[in-house]
Amino acid sequence: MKMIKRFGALLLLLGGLFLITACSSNSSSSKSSSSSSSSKQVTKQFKGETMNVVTTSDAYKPLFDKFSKETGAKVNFLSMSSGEVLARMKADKSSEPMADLWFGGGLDAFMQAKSDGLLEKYQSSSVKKIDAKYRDSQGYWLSKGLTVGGLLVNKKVLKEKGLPVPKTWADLADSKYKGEIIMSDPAVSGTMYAIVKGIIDKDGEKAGWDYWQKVNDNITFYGKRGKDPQEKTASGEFGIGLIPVDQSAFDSAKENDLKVIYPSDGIPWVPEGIAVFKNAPGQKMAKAFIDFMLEPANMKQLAKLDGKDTDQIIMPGVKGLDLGLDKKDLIKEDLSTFGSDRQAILDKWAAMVGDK
Amino acid sequence: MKRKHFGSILADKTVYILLSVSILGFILYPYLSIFIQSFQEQGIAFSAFIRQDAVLLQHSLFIAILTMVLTVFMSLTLAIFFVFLKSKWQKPLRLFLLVTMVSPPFVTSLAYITLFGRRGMITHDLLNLTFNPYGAHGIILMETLSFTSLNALVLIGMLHQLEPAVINSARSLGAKSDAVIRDMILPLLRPGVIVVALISFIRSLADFQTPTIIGGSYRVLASEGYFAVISAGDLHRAALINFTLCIPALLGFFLYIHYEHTMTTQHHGLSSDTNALPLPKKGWFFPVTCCLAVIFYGALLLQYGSILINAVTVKNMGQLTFSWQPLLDSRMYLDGTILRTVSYALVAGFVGSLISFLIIYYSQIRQSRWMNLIELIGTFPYILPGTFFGLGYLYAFSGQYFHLTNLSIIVIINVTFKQVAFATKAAKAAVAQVEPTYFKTVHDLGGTVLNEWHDVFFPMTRQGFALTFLNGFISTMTTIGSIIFLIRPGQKVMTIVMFDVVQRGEYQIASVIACLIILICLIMAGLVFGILGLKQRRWLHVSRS
Amino acid sequence: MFLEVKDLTKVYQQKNVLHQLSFGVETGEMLVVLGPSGCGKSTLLSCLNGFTQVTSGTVRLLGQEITKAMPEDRDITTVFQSYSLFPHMNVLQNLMYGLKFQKIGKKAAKAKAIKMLQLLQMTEYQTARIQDLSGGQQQRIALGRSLIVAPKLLLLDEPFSNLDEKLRLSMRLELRRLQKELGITMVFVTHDQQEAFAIADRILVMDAGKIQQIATGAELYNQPKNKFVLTFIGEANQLANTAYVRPECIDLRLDTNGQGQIIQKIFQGATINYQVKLPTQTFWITRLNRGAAFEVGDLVTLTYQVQQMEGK
Repeated sequence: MKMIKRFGALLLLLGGLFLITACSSNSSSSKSSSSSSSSKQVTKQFKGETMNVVTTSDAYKPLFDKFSKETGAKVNFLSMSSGEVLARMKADKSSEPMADLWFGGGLDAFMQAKSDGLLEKYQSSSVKKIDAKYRDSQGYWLSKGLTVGGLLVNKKVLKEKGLPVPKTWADLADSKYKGEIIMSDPAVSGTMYAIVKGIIDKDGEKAGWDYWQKVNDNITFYGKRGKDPQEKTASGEFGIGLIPVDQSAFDSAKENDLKVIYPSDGIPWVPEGIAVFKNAPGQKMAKAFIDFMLEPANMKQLAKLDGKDTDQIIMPGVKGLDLGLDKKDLIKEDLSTFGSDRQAILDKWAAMVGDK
Repeated sequence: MKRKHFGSILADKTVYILLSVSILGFILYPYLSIFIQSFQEQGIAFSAFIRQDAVLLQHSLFIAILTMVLTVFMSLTLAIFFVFLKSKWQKPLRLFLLVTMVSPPFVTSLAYITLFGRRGMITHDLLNLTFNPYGAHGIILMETLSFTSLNALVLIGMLHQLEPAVINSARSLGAKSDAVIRDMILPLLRPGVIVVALISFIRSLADFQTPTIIGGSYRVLASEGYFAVISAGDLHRAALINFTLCIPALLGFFLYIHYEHTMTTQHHGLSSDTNALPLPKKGWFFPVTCCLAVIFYGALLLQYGSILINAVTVKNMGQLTFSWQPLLDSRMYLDGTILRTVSYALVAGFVGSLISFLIIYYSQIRQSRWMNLIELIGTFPYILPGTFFGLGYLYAFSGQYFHLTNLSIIVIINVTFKQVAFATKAAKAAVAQVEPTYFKTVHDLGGTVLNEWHDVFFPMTRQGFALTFLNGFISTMTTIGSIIFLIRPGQKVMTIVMFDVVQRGEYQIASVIACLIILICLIMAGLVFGILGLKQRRWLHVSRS
Repeated sequence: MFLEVKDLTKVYQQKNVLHQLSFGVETGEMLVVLGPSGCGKSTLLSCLNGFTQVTSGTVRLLGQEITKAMPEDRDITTVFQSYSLFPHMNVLQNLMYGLKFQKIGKKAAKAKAIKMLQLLQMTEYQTARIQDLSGGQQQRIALGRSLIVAPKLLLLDEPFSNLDEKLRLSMRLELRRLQKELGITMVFVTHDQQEAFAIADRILVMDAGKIQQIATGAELYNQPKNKFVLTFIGEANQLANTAYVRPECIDLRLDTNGQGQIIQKIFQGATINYQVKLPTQTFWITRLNRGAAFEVGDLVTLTYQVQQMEGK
């Protein structure tokens, strides 16, 4: 008897732990309320429901919190790279996708996901405010802002080596910078891919690849994570890092006594995507979130969280930070081939860099 | 009386079937599904892959073998160093090893770059060297540093089990310290050394995190497998890579089984309570091991010290200043995660140990051949890379038959079953201490299987169970590979958050989380040892009076 | 004096484990240290072979002070209670191990080891694994391993306590034979008085960290110095103060007017023990199992001579 009691107590304890842990599953979001999804009517219509978001960064929490406050929906989010999102969507064949909203990440992945049939169509009533080139014409994805590529320079390191601070992309091809440049593998980092693609678009196929061949000769190895160049330049491991320029780059520059540079011969850029997953149980919330995001005030907050310059914001009239970006410096890129050329460019890239 | 027996037979059979089904379902089935499904997907054939990427296999083997050799050397050095130490010195040094056994992935490697990088605090600022830490040597050094703590603890534990009279006999025959170490301690530690070597070999093969950070351009199978998923979503390539990894890992594992067997049969004879150690600090071994140990402890101290410093400082214009800011900032990221992580680790540690002990009950006490096979299957997650196990879960439990990937329980199941491999080994060692006649006695006196468990099996293996639980708890607290592809929004655990913030370059916050993980593990270790100590004292009290 | 111990004191965790022990051992002598468990006899041994640091006092071997010498630097070897053979070496390697430190060539060492095996009557076990030997064989090899280095002094710590009765008896004879043959001085620790009587030249009786008496077996039995020795060695009926009488020294006679009555009878084989109740006290009496026996309830008369011990 005593034995049974003890086993019972144990089971109860474990059960209790399960209640804490297991019941926080996201299936609670499957019952969506049938109330109107009109964007302006925000009277806690999603109370008791949970929206799941995969995102590129935890930094958006304040925006999600604001959405929660307005709609009553609880927001769970998880950081994930775009490649990982694609891989998991492919492997996970469950009827419920792993999340409702896909927030941020290189546009190429969104284009891929669209052709893989992973996305849900949604045309927000306020989407027209956005330039047509920053959204899918059929409404499968839209952009939330631009990421731009630039340089981070560790002045101390360059001074130690007696090297001048580079001003342009072309400078990087100079052999005097050999061993002092770091960039990430464009297969891992969407920004690096944008820089590679941008320069090829700018200089043309032949000259573009010649340029990258020379830069490649100056590079010892490619970072395996998007943040590698910024970190390793900050710690003085390298003198020059290719980075996505945003507020955090300027912050890091301030913390570590570095300099952020917009190359004067053109700034490559890539739109970051946002989309609703197909069959998502919480898609009503995800759609409401897009409407919510497209409100200028929220767009502004987003720009702040992203650390974006005004010229990185795709919605006209919304002011962001002043990071010294000039819109006319942006390279003229061909977005139509951004997704379709990706594999070919990455293959050629891999062949060029070999084992680095 | 009859009813009671019926109940116990029912319980016996139910547990037996549940164990079999759960191991087959949660370990074998995921592996099978990823193998089958990924090879069905289109892509290059295995033979073509091997021809193309043979260099990856070479690299992996090179790293794994060198790491193994260095780790064994370092952990043996530490073990020999301990031979000269009085227990009042051994205790704090062992505690430190225990702390550093908890090595939160990523953060330790980052600390290494801060210290030994091209512009590292030690290499560049202090020694004025321009040392390139990236590449094979960086990976090997880092892995050696992080694997040695556990390995040294295993060997030191074994040292304490050596029969003191054997060493005393050698000394009484005239053997000086060096001779005792060379002729007695090293040969007697051999089985442990082999086990430690193979553990390190397999761990190094499967480690994708260290090469990611300090591999530079040096690519190995494990990290390439990870990139195949996160950069291109190429599951087929990931599967091929993992399949390739399995070959040396399995080879290593069969050697491991072989030597593990000889290790369990090594112990014999009586042990007296007199302590043979410490040996006099004379001869060559002492100064040499002492120097190396000082360097090793110094490196660990720097590494963990820099994590701690990172957690309580902020940087401005390259200057560090003390601040609670990282601690405050980390709250936003953790938000409920700590409770969830600890709960997962508690459940996984407990259930994993329970499953493992029951498997060992059937395989050792009841001598079930089938359970031996189940035990072997349970070892798979230890041999094969964690990411592979996680992907297997994704494939296996997202289909039409089993739809579990949307529930957090899948994560708990994953971390629970991942432990069975190590836990069954620990359980075996604990169960071997119990005289088999006790089980017969229970039946002889009219008890049932349930009484066997309740009155003999679990009480007598309590200490082993507690330690197995602790190990499971710690490994769940620090695990990342197997769950990284399985975690959904709202199921984040501390390592995943740490991984994220490291990816975003927030070292300070990553360091805070790393410190928290270490702290939680230490508190749990303190609790477990405290309770064990208390119980033991009570036992002693009873047996004396 | 071959071995001379003077005022040896060991304090461990504020407890006096050994209390000012002084004694000597003669060349070629077999001294047995006898005492109940926990009396400090193993600690004494440990002080002699150097594994325990003494608190105060001196140990001299052949006039040379070795009190603080390391175990490996003493010309003393020890046979431990557990066989403690090296599990990773075979029989021959075990035997040869100590010769390594005496700068004896491999060939010569092997020859010595083979000779030792002959002496131990185990020639056919040269290459046997330790694990394949029986307990008695292991003990013999352990003994041989210590003897082969020809130590000045051999210490034995309850070496036979893990063997069965028959084997123990034959090992005692064997040890005695080897000791006589090789002429090695030995200190033998045991808690078994039969063993002590069987092999000792002299016996040192210890209790509570103090020497109670050092004497030959017969002296100990016949002239115990104090109550501890009296009761620890053999049986005794204690009378007033220092007076006592051994059970076998009492004559028993059937007497219907006798004051004593047999209340218990224990058959022992060669002897029979009787418990006899007298008005003042009860006695234990041991008689040879020869001739007529008494039965419980018989009335008897006792005759005996009172013996005196030196102190209390």
